[in-house]
Amino acid sequence: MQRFLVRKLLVLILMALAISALVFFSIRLSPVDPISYLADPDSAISKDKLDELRAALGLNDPIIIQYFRWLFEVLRGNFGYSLMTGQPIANILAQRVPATLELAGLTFFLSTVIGVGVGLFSAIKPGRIFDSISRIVAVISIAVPEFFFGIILIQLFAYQLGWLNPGGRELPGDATFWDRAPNVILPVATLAFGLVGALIRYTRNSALDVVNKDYIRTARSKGVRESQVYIGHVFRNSVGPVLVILVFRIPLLIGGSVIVEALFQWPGMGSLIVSSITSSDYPVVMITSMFVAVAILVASFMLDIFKALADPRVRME
Amino acid sequence: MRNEKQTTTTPLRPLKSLFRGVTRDWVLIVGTVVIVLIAASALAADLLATHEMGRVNLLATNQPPSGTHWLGTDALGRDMYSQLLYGGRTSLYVAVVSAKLATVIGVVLGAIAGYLGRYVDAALMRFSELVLAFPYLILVLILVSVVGASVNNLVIVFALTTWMGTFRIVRGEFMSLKHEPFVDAARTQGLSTARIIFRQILPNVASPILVALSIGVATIVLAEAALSFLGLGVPVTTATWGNLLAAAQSKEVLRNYWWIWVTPGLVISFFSIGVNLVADGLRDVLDPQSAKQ
Repeated sequence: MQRFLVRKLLVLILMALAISALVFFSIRLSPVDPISYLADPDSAISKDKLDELRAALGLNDPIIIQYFRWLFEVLRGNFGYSLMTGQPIANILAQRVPATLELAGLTFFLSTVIGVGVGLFSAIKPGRIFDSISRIVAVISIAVPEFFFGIILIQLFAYQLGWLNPGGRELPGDATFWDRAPNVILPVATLAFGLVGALIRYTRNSALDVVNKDYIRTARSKGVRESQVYIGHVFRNSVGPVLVILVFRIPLLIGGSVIVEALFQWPGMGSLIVSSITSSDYPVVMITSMFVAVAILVASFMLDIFKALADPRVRME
Repeated sequence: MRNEKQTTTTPLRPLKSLFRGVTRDWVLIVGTVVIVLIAASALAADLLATHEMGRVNLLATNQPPSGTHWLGTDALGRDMYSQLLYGGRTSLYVAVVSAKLATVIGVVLGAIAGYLGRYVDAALMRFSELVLAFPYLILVLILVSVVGASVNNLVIVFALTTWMGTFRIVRGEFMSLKHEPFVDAARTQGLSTARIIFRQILPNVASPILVALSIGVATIVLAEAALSFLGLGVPVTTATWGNLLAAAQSKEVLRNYWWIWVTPGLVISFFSIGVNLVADGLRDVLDPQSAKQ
């Protein structure tokens, strides 16, 4: 286990380094003077001052040395400055991350409860009406583009019925979560709708695998009550593989809500990436996507550990 | 040891038996009919369209569906029905060509990684993980913003970002197939490595590649639409399904002119549902184990 851990950790670090190098050299390839995002815009006033700064920041050194110096700064939390607003990128991220986490967390909770619940329920009587309906829902959820679904929701609940707000996160004066609810419900519903399909399918198949196992038959022949068979045996044994899928979803939510955030003008990481791309704010684009990529790496690292703990054969590979 | 076990658990069916299974499976039939109808009408756009491609008519803007404009007109008076046909042609062209390119990349890299194993495999695996570490749409957005969003650039960007699924499948199949007796036989006959990979083993992997290809087409249709929706896709002067749907970004359109955004959204959804049904059906036909469920 120890060797497995060390090896996986090494791979993680190497991959994170590769991503950071990719990001660093991509920013450098873009037609932007590095001084404009490395230095605080307030300190860069005159030409002489700029040359002085350039030397102080080591922009005349070999590029490899510059990369390691940049990496060191990034590790200390200094990500540079936005080209558009001149704000430190760390501050921008600090504003955006909570909004995305709120969206991702609620969606994660909602889609898990619905997806796992419906999946298990349809596995109890496969082929029956509930199962057929849930299969159709799953196909629609996987196939229909989420922004089309989102538009329909906006049209219905914001414009026609007027119950909920079509976009934004909070108005000035909205203090509690309940004040924000009219803004939160639609984007969460849209994101969750796109996620439940795969979850229903996966849970259903996983539960069906378990239902056909010998120990379920044994439990039944011993006279265990039917409800107890499902709660105590089927559910407990089919939830493992579903958990693996769930863990893998977290980073997808963080980075994958680009469309939904843009559609609902939700001020999170996804809409940050889109707006920085349209305004050619390369440093923000790169740092943000590096953030997301490293988060995904860490999550898949934890997934590997999780799998290895559950199944010793994984470690031997 | 491990590899022997894998070969016994995944029975492979030759492509021929696929067509016998097709008639049994209504999911496959419905999906195929939907796809063929949509694709055929897009291909025959020149014959079916009632109005010229992109023809602006400022005297008939935002008209609801009528006898002359079957699906109404948009803000510039363009006939929605004709625009949908021409848009489908561009969207499907982008999706099919880039899905095929992605499949070629995935198959070649997957075959090499799976057959050679060791360091080549480890390096290619790490590379695919590196690409997978970036969320799909973000990666596409970044690349498109770098190279610019022309139709052909989009094809290249999608090809470079959608090959990993095929790569993994082909790699897995090769890892188990390379220990089969027929591969040893080919090796003892002195066939070259390239010949063994592409002529001896690859034909056995055709079915899962087909499934991955169809899923790839649907993925790219959705991604193209998403990109256009964000205003970063094919330039608006060219009609695509995504560009037509992007009109729904305007609050006015969303509130008052439902025909402008409902039909492109429905067409994209139906096409994508069709492809998913076909992929599911194919999977059931090709893999008897999943069909049982």
